Amino acid sequence: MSIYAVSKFFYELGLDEHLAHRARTDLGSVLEGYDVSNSERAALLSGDVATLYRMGVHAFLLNSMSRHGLGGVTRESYRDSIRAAS
Amino acid sequence: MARVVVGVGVPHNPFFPRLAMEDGQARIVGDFNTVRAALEAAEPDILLIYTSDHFVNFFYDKLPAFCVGTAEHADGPHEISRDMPWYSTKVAAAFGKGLLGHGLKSNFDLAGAEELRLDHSTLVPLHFLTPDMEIPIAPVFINGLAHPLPNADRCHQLGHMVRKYIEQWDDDARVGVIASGSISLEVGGPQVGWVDADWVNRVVELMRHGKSAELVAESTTEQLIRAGNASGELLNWIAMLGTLGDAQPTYLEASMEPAESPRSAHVFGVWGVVGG
Repeated sequence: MSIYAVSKFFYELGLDEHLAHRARTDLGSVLEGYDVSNSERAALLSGDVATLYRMGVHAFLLNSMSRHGLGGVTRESYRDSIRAAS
Repeated sequence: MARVVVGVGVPHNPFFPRLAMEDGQARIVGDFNTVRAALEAAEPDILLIYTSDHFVNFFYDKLPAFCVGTAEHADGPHEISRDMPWYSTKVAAAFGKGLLGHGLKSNFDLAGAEELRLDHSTLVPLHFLTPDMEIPIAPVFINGLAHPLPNADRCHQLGHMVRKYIEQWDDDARVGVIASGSISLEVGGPQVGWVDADWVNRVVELMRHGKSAELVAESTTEQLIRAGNASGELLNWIAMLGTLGDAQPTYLEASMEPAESPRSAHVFGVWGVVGG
C-alpha cells in the first residue's frame, strides 16, 4: 500500500477525538486498522517525521505527530526533524 | 439582477481567534475590524467565499480542484484541533446550485457538495467579519494545498465566470466576496517559520495596481511551492480578483513580523465596488 494509508490515518485522526485519544495511548493498536507497510508503521511508532515527510505525507497531516505527541514527538523535536527533512 | 458589491481578502490562521481574545490590541484585530466595517457598509445579502479545505471536507479519496457548496446549512470548524467557537451558518443553496449549473454550461467542470464540513479556513474569516452568522454563505472551494493545484489562470477564469453568473442571476441579491488565505506560509513543513517576503511584497504591489494579469502569470506552481505549503491559498485571492473585474483595492495592508527576517505575513484587503 502507498503512503495513502498513512495519510488517511492522519486525516481521520484530525476529525475524531476518540481516535486521537486511542492513538495517543496505543498507536500500535490503532495502526492495525490501517493498511500501512512495515516501514511506514516503524516510522510512525518511532516518531520519524523526516522519513514520513520524504515518503510523501503532506505536512498539514504530518503535523498531527507533534500535536498529539505520537511516537514520542514533541513540538520541538518535530520542528528540528522536519527542518532537516528538506 | 444580482451584483457584486464588495470584495475582501483576509488570512485565516487558526490561532487568530485566541490571539484576539487574549490581546484585543493585536494588529490583526484592527485589520479585521477595518475589513469588517467595509463589508458591513456594502450590506451584502450573500457572502461568496473562496476558500481552501484543509483535509477536513476533502481528502485524497475525493479531491476536487473546484467545488461549490450547495448545502442548506453548514457548521464547524470540524477539526478537533480547533481553538475557536463552534458556528452554524446558512448556506445560499439556491445560489450555489445555480452556480454549479452555470459553471458546467460554461465549461467549468465544478464539483458540488450538498454536505459540508467547514474548517477554520472558512470560519476564522467569518468569526471576525460576520460573527452573528446572519448572512448566508456561498463557499467555493479551490484546492490550494494538496498538489497538483489548479493553475492560477484557471482560477482567475473561474472568478470571471462567477461574476457573469452573479450578473445574470435572477435575483436582486447584493453579493460580497471573501478571499481566504495566506500569500506565503508554511505549516508543519521544512520551511516552517520562514516567509517569502519578496513574494508577498510583489503580490501586494501587483494587487495594489490592479495588475491581475501579471499576478496570474507570476503565480506559477513553482513560485507557490517556493512560498510555502499553504501559499496556494493565493489562488483564492486570484479568483476573487476575477470576480471583482480586476479592480484596484481601496485598502491593502501587509504586516510582516519581525521586519528584518519575517516569520509571518498577514495581508488584508478591501475592494470597494463603484456603484455597488
